[in-house]
Amino acid sequence: MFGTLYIEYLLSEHHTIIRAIAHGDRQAFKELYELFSDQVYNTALSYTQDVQEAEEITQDVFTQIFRNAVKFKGESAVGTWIYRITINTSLNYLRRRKRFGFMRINDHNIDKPDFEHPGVLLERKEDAKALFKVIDTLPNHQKTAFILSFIEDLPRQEVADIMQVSLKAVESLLQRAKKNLRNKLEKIYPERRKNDY
Amino acid sequence: MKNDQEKWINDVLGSMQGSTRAQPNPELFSKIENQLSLSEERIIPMYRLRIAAAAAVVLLILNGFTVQYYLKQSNSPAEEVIVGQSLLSNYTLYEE
Repeated sequence: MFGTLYIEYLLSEHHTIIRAIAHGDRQAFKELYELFSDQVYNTALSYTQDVQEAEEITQDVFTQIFRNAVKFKGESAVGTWIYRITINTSLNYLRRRKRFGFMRINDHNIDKPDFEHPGVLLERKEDAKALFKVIDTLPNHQKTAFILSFIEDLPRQEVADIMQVSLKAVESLLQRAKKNLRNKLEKIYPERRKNDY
Repeated sequence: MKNDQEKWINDVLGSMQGSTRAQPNPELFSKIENQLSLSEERIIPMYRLRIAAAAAVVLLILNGFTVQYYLKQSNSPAEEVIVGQSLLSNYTLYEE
């Protein structure tokens, strides 16, 4: 009962902040940044696997929020809206990277070291490296479902709301994502054993 | 071996459990604010655009009136024919 009331209070509080931002309130904008910057940065980091790009995306996302706050209709939770902007911006970055990657001198895919997530536990660092390596190979929809469910640790219903698909579709995407990840990991495993010896 | 592989795959899939959130650069918010200030300077405010549009409309209307006035003041086609004929007959623009 109190939990539901608290969530409702938070949701209306977030809407109030967005309305204030729509009127150009910089203090409200700072408040929103403090509430959601972690969420935006970590999601972007999971997609790009690059600290600098994740910061660029965070910058881009908050600039978009400031400019488009006036367009926010309040039909979804502010967090959901911000996740959608973050995912779209991250996927656009990945597309651009793929398209213009050949023009860069230090191409991202050549000699790119395995991504080490800064928040992962020390004893799981090597496993997490392998995980991010295979996540990178997933199709976008499966990647989004997996990142939101298993890295952002969001409830399935919230993932469905963010992706604007049904709960069943999320389950199906996760199943396919896991199957693909398993297949890729099975191929990596012999290599890993060689490195261990 | 198959068990080892299966265990490793499960470990990898669950490797992000218990991890903490990564923190963005503490100066990132200042960067965002600077970027917003810069782009605000570049954006022409809506009220200025409205004033410019109103000025353009007034200018067009005045131009219209001027053209209309000029057309009314200029010679009629019949007068132009008479001047043309006399010019052809005596090669002088103004008759003595």
